[in-house]
Amino acid sequence: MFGHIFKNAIKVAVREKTSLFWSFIFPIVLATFMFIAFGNIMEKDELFHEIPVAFVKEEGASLGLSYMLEAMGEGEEAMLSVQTVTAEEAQKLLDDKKVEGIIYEDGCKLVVLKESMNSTILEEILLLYKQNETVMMDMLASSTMQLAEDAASVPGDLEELVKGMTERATYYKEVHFTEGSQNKYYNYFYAIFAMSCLFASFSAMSSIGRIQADCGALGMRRNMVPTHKMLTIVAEFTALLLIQFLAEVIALGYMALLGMDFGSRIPFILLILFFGVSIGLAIGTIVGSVKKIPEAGKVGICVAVGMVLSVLADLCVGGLKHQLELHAPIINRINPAALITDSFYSLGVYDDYGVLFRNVATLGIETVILLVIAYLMVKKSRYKEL
Amino acid sequence: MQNFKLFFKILNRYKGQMIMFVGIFASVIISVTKSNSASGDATSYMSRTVQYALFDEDQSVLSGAIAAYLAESQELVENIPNEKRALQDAIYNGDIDCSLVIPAGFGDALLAGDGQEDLQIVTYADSQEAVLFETALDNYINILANYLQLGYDAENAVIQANRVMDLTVDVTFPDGGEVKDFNPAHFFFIYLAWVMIMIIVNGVGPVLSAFKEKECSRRIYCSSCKFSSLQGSMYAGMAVLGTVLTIFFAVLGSIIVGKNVSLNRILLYGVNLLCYTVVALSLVFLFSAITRKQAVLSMLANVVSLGMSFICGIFVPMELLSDGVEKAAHFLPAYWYGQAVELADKGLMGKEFMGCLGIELLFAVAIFVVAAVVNRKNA
Repeated sequence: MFGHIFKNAIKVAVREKTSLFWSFIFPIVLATFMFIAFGNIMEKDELFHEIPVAFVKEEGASLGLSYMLEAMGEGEEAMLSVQTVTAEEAQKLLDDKKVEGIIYEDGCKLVVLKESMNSTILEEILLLYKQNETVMMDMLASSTMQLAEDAASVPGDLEELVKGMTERATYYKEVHFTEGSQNKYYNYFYAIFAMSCLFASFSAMSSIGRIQADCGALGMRRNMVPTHKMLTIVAEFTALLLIQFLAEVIALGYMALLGMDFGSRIPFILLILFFGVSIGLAIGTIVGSVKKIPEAGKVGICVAVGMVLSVLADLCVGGLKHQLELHAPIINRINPAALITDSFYSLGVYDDYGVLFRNVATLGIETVILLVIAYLMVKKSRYKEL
Repeated sequence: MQNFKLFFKILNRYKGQMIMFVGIFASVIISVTKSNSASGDATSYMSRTVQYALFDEDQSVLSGAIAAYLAESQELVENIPNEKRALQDAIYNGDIDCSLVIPAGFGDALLAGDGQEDLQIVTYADSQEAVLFETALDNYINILANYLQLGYDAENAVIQANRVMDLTVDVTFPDGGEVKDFNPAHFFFIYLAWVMIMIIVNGVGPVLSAFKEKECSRRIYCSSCKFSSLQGSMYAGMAVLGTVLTIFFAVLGSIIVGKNVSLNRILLYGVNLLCYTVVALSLVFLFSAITRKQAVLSMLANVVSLGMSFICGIFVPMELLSDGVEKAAHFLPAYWYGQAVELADKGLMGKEFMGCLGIELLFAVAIFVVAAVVNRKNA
């Protein structure tokens, strides 16, 4: 009997062409929009690149600043890309947003279009020059005696000393704890998976409606047969799980084709998606089991639940999930969307699977609880006549 | 008139759903606004700082001086444990940009003219924050090292280095520079581009679908009521609903974020929102012409509202998106809504602002025409 219901549930789902189409196309379209928006945003917003800057020289000034800027624009790890221009040209470059700032040698001033991390780095570089200039003066003052004894080593101006200062010692080494992606914008893509998993609830909601006698002729017929309700629910659930899981796998493949880096632990990603779809279907099953709500109302509830849970898992704006983690961590421990996004994150960043397995187990337990409640709700239904 | 009344009768049947969506999305937008609100309009230059965690295992005079300098120039975040996982999470969640470990013996090594690459900085690879932090840190230690080389002892080298660190650089904006620090009102009204479509499509969609139920639509079409009259009644019903929703959110906005915002600006936001509500109504009209399935309506609402929000600068500032995306966004109404919100932020109601509203309304008209054609074909 299980096979019979399972097979027919697949057939019904496949014949619902519009719903099926949207189940498959929904995550793909959203991922495409998101990729267009966020594909290179980490590169543009977060990572450091040479800062383009205009440099306006002052007639007759010492060459110290000029040398330092030149040195900082050289080599593989150059910090600056300097264009030495007149004041008018510099202003035009800034207006056209071709440079992030103008450095005026006169007074060692900086003009920037807006506050940014790069403008602060430029400020820090100018500070470096001014500080080193002061240190040089102190060094000259303290070593006047020695310099007088050895006239050959007296510098004509600060230029040689400044050149020496640019070859500074480095006192730190950078450490990166993970080889996985810590691109925080990936969370938006994880949240797409979470939302599309939760939106699997639509199909489960329709499916449960088809076994309720007050929802149509099909429901009446199915209530007359002596099939155990639990068996029906599980068979329908399994059929939809297969279809929705396939939709998520296709979305995953599509995102990988776009160039998203989900790491190499694919079987575990599939595990997350499997349990993600399960909880989505379980939510739909329980919403569909509620009586005396019209279908539009049930869809509304599914949308509201899916959206709110996904928004709390940072679908739209980053930071909400973290705020919850600080002030109400229990919500993140039970919110299915947060569990899904967290599982993706842990898989990408952590070496072990502790968080992943805890989250997946929570999703599994939630699914079972919701299905049992739905079964009890459907089982209680009795009809005087059909 | 009959159909106009019918619109509200059906809406009354779905009022619970409508109230649920308005309540949920109003709560979402309030929490999102609160979590994104900046401190206010900046008028002068402020240096950015890096949030960092510090683990001083050396506890020497020199390591103390480094810690004090960093605490003054950057933003120290305390209570972060020096554990791999905690640091990973703190960096990912944006609690800190990096962490610094000063190992035991670093002070002595520096006094001996050594200590290169002894400090350990955990951060994202090549992040801007890391570059700023590392530049500032290296700068300070190099200056300390210079004074130590000059023969100063540790305490006096610190005094000299701190004296040098008091120097400042004159940083200014050019005349008319982009001093942009969004206020809470900006966030509240910009996110409405997403929320309004979600509420209207999910709330009004079932009402329009009900009109298309076989029995209802057949009774209407076999009556003496003209097709244009039916359409007109629906437009009128939606216009009333749209106006009510706009007033609700404008009032909510003025309560939540209006403390430091003038009435003039609230009005600008409100007028812009009204135009965008017309766009949202045109979209639900089009979607309900395409499908009667609630689940599909919902997915369409999500795809269109989220899609436009991502590529039209609603969820992330437009300047972070590529030029190609910005050009493409010009062909979407949410872009013009966002532009109008930015103009309203500055209190500007000139030609540019009116132009944005005009383009939004043109989008709405175009979508209404397409929807009417589809409806006519399906009638």
